[in-house]
Amino acid sequence: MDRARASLTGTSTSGERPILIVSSIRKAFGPTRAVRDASFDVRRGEIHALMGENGSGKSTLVKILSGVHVPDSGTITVGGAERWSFTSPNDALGAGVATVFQEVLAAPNLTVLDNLWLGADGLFRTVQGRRERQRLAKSVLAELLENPPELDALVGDLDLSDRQACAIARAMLRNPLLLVLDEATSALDFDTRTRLFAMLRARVADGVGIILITHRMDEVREIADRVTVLRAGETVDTLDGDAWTIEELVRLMTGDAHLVDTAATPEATRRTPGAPVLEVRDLRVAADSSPVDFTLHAGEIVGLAGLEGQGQDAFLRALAGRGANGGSVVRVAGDVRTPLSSPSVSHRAGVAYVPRERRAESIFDWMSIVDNFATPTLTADRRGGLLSGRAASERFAEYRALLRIKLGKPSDGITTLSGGNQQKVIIARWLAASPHVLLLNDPTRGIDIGAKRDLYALLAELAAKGLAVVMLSTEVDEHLELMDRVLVFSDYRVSAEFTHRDVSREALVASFFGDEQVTA
Amino acid sequence: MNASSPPQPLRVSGPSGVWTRSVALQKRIPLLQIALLIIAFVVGVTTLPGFGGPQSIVSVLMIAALAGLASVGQTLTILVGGFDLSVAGFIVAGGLMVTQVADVLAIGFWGALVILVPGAMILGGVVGYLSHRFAIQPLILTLAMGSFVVGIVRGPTGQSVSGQAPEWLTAMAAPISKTFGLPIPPILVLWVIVIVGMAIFLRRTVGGRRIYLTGANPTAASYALVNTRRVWVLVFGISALCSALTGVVLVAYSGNVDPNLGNPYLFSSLAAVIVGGTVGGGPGDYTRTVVGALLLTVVTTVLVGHGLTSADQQIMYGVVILIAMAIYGRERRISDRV
Amino acid sequence: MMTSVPARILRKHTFIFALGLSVVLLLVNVLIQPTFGWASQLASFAPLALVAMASAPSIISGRGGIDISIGPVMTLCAIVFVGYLAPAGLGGIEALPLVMLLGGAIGTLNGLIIIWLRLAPIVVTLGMYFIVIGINLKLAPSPLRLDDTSWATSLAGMVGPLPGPLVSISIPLVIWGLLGLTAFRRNLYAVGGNDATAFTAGVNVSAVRVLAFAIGGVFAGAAGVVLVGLVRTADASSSTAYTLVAIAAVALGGISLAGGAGGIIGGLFGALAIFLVQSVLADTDLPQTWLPAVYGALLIASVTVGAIVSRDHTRRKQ
Repeated sequence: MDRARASLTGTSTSGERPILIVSSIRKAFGPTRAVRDASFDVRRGEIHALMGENGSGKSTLVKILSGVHVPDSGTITVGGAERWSFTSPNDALGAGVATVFQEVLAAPNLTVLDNLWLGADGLFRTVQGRRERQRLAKSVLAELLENPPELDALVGDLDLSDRQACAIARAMLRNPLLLVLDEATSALDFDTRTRLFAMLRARVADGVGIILITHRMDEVREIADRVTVLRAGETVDTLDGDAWTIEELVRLMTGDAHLVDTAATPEATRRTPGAPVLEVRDLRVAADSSPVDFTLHAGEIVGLAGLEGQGQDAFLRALAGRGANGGSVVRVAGDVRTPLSSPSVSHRAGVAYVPRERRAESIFDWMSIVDNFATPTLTADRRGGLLSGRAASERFAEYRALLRIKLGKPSDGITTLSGGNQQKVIIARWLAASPHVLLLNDPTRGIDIGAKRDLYALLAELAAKGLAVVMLSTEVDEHLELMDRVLVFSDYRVSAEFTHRDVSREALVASFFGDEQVTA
Repeated sequence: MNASSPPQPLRVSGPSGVWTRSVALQKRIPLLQIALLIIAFVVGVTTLPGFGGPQSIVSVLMIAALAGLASVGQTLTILVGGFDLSVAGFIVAGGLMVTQVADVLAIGFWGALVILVPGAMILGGVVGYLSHRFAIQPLILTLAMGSFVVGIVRGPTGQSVSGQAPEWLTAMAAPISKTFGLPIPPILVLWVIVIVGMAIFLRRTVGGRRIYLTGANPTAASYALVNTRRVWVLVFGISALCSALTGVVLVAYSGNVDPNLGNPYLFSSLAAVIVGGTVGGGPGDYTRTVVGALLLTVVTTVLVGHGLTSADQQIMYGVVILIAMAIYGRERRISDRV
Repeated sequence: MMTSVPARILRKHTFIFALGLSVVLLLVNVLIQPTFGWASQLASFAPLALVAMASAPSIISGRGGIDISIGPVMTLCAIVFVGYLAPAGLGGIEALPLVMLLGGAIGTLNGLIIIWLRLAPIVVTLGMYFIVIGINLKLAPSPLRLDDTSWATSLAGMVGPLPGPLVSISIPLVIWGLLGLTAFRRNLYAVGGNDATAFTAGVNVSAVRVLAFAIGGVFAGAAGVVLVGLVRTADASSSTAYTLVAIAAVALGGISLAGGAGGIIGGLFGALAIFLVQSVLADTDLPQTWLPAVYGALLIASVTVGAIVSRDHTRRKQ
């Protein structure tokens, strides 16, 4: 509350009381504290940018502001009316907060008109007559789009940019006091984005407050009056419109704490890369993106970095033989060249892929630890036609030691393990297939430091023995410490490449935001 | 902590404490069901004359065996994440094939069986394939297939349904029959063989393990290189086959076939699996289903002895299904799906 | 990409396929059997049409929405009408809204269990299916006979100047039409298409889903009275007869089982197509025993085709 009052002394278009005050919001999901302490305010007629790295708590905060989640504690004050929180999206909308979400949430089976007015009605009650709706819808769409779609077109037929425009228009039509745009420009094409900003400026002149969550520095520079930075679930600072530099923002977003001691991995243990094991030529990560060429060598650890959804995930999956838009991914083993056309071909060629979402894509939650381990390699446990639990346990014991997995008994349920240990079991699962190439999709997300360190040591050890590793990571420190090379993805192409020698925190993070390389 | 997405809530969400912990234990061993079974048995013995006698026990076991055999396929389909409502249809089709059709087409019992076995597997397999490939509710496809299979079997036999089982088959099923000189009816022996076979198959073979994996997490199973489509095709094929063969056994037991022969077994197969505690997508196994079948049979017999009508039975099945699903099978909140 | 003109028409008016099929079958019918007997055919068709339309709202509401208990509920309402309301002096036209209310209450119960316990609709309505069948057997252990002078028989004959069946069929159509004048139908389709989107936009998703099941139950109640008017008996063992056919009709009528598409008109035309198939088969001397095979095959085919079509649609959603 005090910080909010203090910031009122800054310059603003129309002083008075803020239109939104967020005070000491906390939200935990089980053991995960998504938001630890968020406090900031938004003034009338202000465009307030909210920035932070992956995992800083931004999307949870947005969900709280939009009424999807209820915070554990804290208050939200909208237009002077203080309340504990919103109980539902309907409640938030009623209080004057309209949100446009990151995942374009449009109803594809409805017409444009119905999409724009979605939720504005009651259960039965219609708030606007048909003609009035059409008029208002047309006017908002014309403001936002140069070629607005017909009102009776099905939204499912529109392209992604127009669909996002519909979501934005829907929020506008609610005449909100506060408009929250969560990465709402990510799918818009350039013209629409320009028109959107003009529209935002017009609304702001009428006193509407706007929260803009974006990772594009140029947008923040262009349009934001103030910037609040979130890191690890906390609002670290609020900076004034003109009074910040990229360096400062980056420092606030990433913090000074290092997770892994830099001295721990001396330069001397850097491996020299061996023979090529994977060759990627002309790979297009998305339909219209620039082609990517890439060669992976034995004993190399390559990091894939960048902000959420910039193409690194799709690239990694393409390396695993899971879909590519044109181009080729070839496994090279001596003279044998195998195009990786499907997951099973990749597996046989010695490429193992550890998926990203542990819960959704790797864990069989009611099964035991050893059963989770043995899955892709079941045939190795056959004794006389039947599966032998003992054989599986013996195989597992080897990896348990190698990965230092902390557990009770192998027959315990996998959910008794901590996240870090679960992840180790999954990695053991794939190591048991004796791969030559190990592809890891954000393996250390949400796991404790001890488990991370174990994993880093293991990967370095395996790489020294010739394993090639490609690891997508959302953690800057991993890229700094572990990787021989780092590929940065932005807009579905490799926008920068660093070697271990020339990578630095500031340069790396700056490259995420598509800005010029910043000197350390 | 750099977690950027909340961990997905467990499938059974609810207030923590005694309830959740009891549920957790209950998920590992069907203690509740066994306890209820013992209670029901004791109630039966004390309130119904002759209930505890060997004759009565054998006949209760035989009824349970028939329900149990009908539930083999159901167990598998529920483990993989579906349901099988074609049990009734395949039972009738199986029964009709070996009686009427065998007569009308003059192919005899074994001739009919030669058509029945691959036929059932293929039709079941089609259901599994369509269901997996096009993401269609297996419940609806199996309902339709059940109807379809009755139709194509009854077609050649015409309106009248008057099948008679071959004598040797009926003899095998009589409660007083013997197996190799032991005073145990062959149907029970068959059931025991099936129980053991299923236990080995599910727990100790690669195929059985793949069924569990596919049901537990189809996405992860696919990443772990399980061909989930093949699993679905095989599971539904096997289920159809088991139902058809149960129809054959049933015909032996009851002597004739009528078009509604299968319906009670559909209900009881669903109820046996659900009461036994096998959840959609696992965990569970056929042994649980056996406990469930025994429990339901004993309870039903006792209640019938006290005046329970078939109407009451239906209501009981429905309520039991709802309660069991409320314990075992709840879904995620909408706010966690945004 | 399905943006060609015929594909777009198909998507906007998903019942077109069933309509076309019906027209063809009608012609075939008339050709085979010149003495078509419109009046009695319509009367036989009406209960089927109503029960199919009753199945539609729950399916449109999405998230695996389906109501398997519609068949038994229809029979329950018939039994209550003949066996309890009529003898109590409430057998006049006032019985219609009463049993519709009963059907609606059971539908509401289904919806509430689904929402509160967060269970899959297919399982909840399956449990309710058994429960209602049991209740039917208890209430009517043997078939109950309708008094021949009851007004309900006019539904199978003439209601004033109009054919009774047309009046019956128009009941759900009128109700659905009235709902279309409110925001409810828009909300229903939004929830069926993507409930997370509707939720974040402020729609009361729970209320919409419960009401969808309630409306289905109301239609089922009307179906029960219409059935009784036709066959003059309320028979507990007919509980299961219409379930399969109702689902087949809905699938054939272009109502995607994934939700958010189609309308009760689709249920109507789907039912019409199925009815005409049965009629054609009857004319061709094919034994009744083949019918289940035809229904089964038809359901499998229509559900598969429906899934393929809606899959194309969803795939472009990105």
